[in-house]
Amino acid sequence: MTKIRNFSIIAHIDHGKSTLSDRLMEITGFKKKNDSIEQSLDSMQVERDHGITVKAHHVRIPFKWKDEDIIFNLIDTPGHVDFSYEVSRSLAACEGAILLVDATQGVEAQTISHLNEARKNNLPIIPVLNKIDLPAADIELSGSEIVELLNCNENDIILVSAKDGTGVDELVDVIIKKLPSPKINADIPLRAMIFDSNYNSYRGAIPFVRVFDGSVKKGNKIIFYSTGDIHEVTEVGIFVPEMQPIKELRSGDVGYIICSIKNLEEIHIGDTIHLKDDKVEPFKGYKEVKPMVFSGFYPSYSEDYEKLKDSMAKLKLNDAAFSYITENSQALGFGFRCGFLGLLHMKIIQERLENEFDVSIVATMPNVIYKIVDIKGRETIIDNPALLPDLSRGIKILEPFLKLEIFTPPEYIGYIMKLSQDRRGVQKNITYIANKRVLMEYYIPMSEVIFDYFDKLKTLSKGYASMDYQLLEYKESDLVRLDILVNGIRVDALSSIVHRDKSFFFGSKMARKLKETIHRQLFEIRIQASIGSKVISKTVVKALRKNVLSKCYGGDITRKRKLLEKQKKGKKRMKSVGKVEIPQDAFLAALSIDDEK
Amino acid sequence: MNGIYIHIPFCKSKCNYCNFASDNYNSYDEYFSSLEYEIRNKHRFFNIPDTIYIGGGTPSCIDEKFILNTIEIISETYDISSLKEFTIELNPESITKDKINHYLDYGINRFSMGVQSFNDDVLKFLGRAHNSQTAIRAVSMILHQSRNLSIDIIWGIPGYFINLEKLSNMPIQHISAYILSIEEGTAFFKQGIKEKRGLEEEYKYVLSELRNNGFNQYEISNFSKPGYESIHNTLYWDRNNKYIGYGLSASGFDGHKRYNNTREMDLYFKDPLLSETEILSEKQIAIEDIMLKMRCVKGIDKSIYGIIDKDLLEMMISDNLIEFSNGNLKATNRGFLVLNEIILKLSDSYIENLGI
Ligand SMILES: Nc1nc2c(ncn2[C@@H]2O[C@H](COP(=O)(O)OP(=O)(O)OP(=O)(O)O)[C@@H](O)[C@H]2O)c(=O)[nH]1
Ligand code: SF4
Ligand SMILES: [Mg+2]
Repeated sequence: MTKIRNFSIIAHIDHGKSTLSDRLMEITGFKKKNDSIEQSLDSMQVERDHGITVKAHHVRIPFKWKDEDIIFNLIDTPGHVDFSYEVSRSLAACEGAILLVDATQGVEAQTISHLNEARKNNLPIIPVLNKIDLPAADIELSGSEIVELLNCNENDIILVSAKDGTGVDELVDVIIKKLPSPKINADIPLRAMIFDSNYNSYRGAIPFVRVFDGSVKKGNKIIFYSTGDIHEVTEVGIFVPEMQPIKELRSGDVGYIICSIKNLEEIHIGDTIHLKDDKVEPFKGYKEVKPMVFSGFYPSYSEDYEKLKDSMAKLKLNDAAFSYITENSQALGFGFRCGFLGLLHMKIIQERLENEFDVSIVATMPNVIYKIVDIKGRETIIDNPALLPDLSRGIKILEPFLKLEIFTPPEYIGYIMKLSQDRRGVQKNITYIANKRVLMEYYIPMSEVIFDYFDKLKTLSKGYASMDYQLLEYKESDLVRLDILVNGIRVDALSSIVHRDKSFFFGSKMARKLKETIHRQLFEIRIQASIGSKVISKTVVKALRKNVLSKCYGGDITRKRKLLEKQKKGKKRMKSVGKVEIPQDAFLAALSIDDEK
Repeated sequence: MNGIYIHIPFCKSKCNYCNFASDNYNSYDEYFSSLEYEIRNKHRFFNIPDTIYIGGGTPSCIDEKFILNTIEIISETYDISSLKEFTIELNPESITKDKINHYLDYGINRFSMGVQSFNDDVLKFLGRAHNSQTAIRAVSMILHQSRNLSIDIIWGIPGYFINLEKLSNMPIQHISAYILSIEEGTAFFKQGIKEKRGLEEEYKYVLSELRNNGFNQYEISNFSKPGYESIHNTLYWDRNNKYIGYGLSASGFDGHKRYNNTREMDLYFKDPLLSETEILSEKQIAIEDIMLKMRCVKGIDKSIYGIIDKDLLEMMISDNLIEFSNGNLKATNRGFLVLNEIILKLSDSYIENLGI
């Protein structure tokens, strides 16, 4: 009998999950060793560009091991906190997890958060120390951290080098020995859960499923539980990791189902699929993810609006954590207010829209969600700073606060305290874990963390500190709306919400940044930062002094016209407010504002 | 009006700011036989030219027999009996009395000389093959034989402020004063030399100095004594005129289509008739029309500016970029310095309001 093992590899970012996946595919003889392509499961262009995994990748690995037929359904998961949703969904489709720890780094923040997710699913965990080939690997220290974390024995930990393959065959033995086979309920009615999906221009929306009960094959009529829609299956298949058709998906399998779904809205992640004439109990589905960061996405060229809309609908199939609704800006025209799990997520979505759908986007400064509460206690959600009304008396504005946990070697504690204080953080706790690591806990506004806190933390700790956060509550703060006026006209897409104490500093930086990004034009441009009717900072972009080609005779006319047309084209990408052209970068100017004073 | 342009792509050396089709090739025989072939075989859309212009390059730097022979070929193919203006370009270092006389014998009646500057440091910086003394001597040599001389000067040179004192004892008839622009493909561009900033003062000086010496501005960079506007150049700026261009990189326009000859010497040798024809869209016609007219001191008339947004015009007027004069809309001196931006704004509004 073939033994099936469904498992995810989880770890903090960069601890080597994708590299280990390569080795597992090779040692089982499933893939030829190919040195030129590392992290081969990271197949999306954004993943190659950033050198990180952003989607969970499934691969089915059938092989013979010590005379047994084995199938691994391996899921390589992302490590970055913005993609934790991918990890939790992957774990829900598994019977076990490999917890990977980089022996040069030890346990870090997402080691713990992903482990906790695995524990919620009651999964057996195989602890693995990776990168033991590196001289900086501290097997003893990292090992002791794992022992403490998992309450396991030191000799439960498998030592590997995903790079050179050391220890990987032992790991295969342990996976086969320690992880359970999936429960096979082949003879009862089909019940499959949609854990992800994708869009293919020829074949429509394609749900990715884990089959728990029964089986499904071509010709079956299936129903999506939440919508009641009925479809006929035209193909089923598995991931190798590309899609490969097979005859039938059975209980225990992970694969895809094609049934030419044209209406993208029919697919809901977490939904249950069953056969037409059966009645089944639906799965609980996944916990809904709430976007943390919002930004306006507008087409660079306004005529691309429909294309952008269509592309977003298709992309959302492959990223359920991303949300969008239409919005309209005076400065930018028609576009969308989009929700993301974090800033990296936002960047990845923008790049995927540009790479995979070929639409160019202007993104506005990201922000968190605010709430306002009026005198009668009624709450309104504000996901776009421009929509924050001028606060009259009695109206409160609330902002989200996080529980922020920072893992760090003790020598950086001082810097981290300073950074967190500057960011309005309140220290709640500080605990020593093992002997070389400290867990610092802060109560801190999300808006202070979500943008560049992480980068700062990495820099000041030379890469050794890591962090994790959870939304705790909304709480009143002394916040104001900072507006930017260009030649006296408020540019809605440039408004932001900031703490009153920081508003002056932020406003003047913002005005200066804009001055750098907005090029000289025919007319002088006045840039003002204001709160309500009070101008807190102003600056001027002087009028352009020279743009002329002084010679223009027969042979030059075409060339001169082409030059003008080129300049015109450059301007087309700009957004105009009044008679002022604003380059697209300007809308993100605030992101590069540093808090050094 | 009909004009003929003949391009002579030879120069003694390449100036640092130059991106004309020119070089110190020495394939004269091949070039002129290709040119002859082109003149004899290219489709002609008029037969009686009003002007001929031999430009370059430096037509004066080569043995004049090539030029004179080309003029003969032209006179065999066209009826040149009603020519009003016949110009040749010269450089100071390459002219002699004899050359000038030969040119005059063959009907040339206007000379245009690349003087560029009266400052030797500037001339060196520009990579010119002559110094100021040579230039001044060349000017007086021509003035002895002809009453129709134009000179080119360049201003806006980084690190310098132009000096035009020498002009007052030069009874020339025409000046083309160009701002140095650093264009792609030039030596300056490669060296990373940046255009000069803050040109207003220098421009003011140029304008007043030229005015004081009796020159009237009729285009952004062209100035003349009364009655000496270049007919040939003016013809390019009005789409009602036709012109035929011969030689490397030359262009022609038949009232609708423009052709541009190749800029590659070996392609030209292979096929002297090789050219690209452009059929302009309505939009492109609008841009060109506004571009060419706004460069002229006359400006654009009501049929064009009537279609442009009023508030845009008002903003530009109040910023002293454009003004009304004799019922036309024209660029002010300040406006001339940012003319591209003005043209883009005007043509955008024009195109949008016409819905083309
Ligand atoms: N020396 C050494 N380097 C390793 C080893 N495993 C991974 N690496 C390197 O560590 C870096 C990160 O490896 P990845 O496999 O991309 O890490 P990951 O955990 O998949 O990262 P994310 O998907 O972004 O969370 C790469 O540069 C790998 O080459 C190892 O065993 N030894
Ligand atoms: S002389 Fe005129 S054409 Fe020749 S290189 Fe100098 S600028 Fe160019
Ligand atoms: Mg990875």
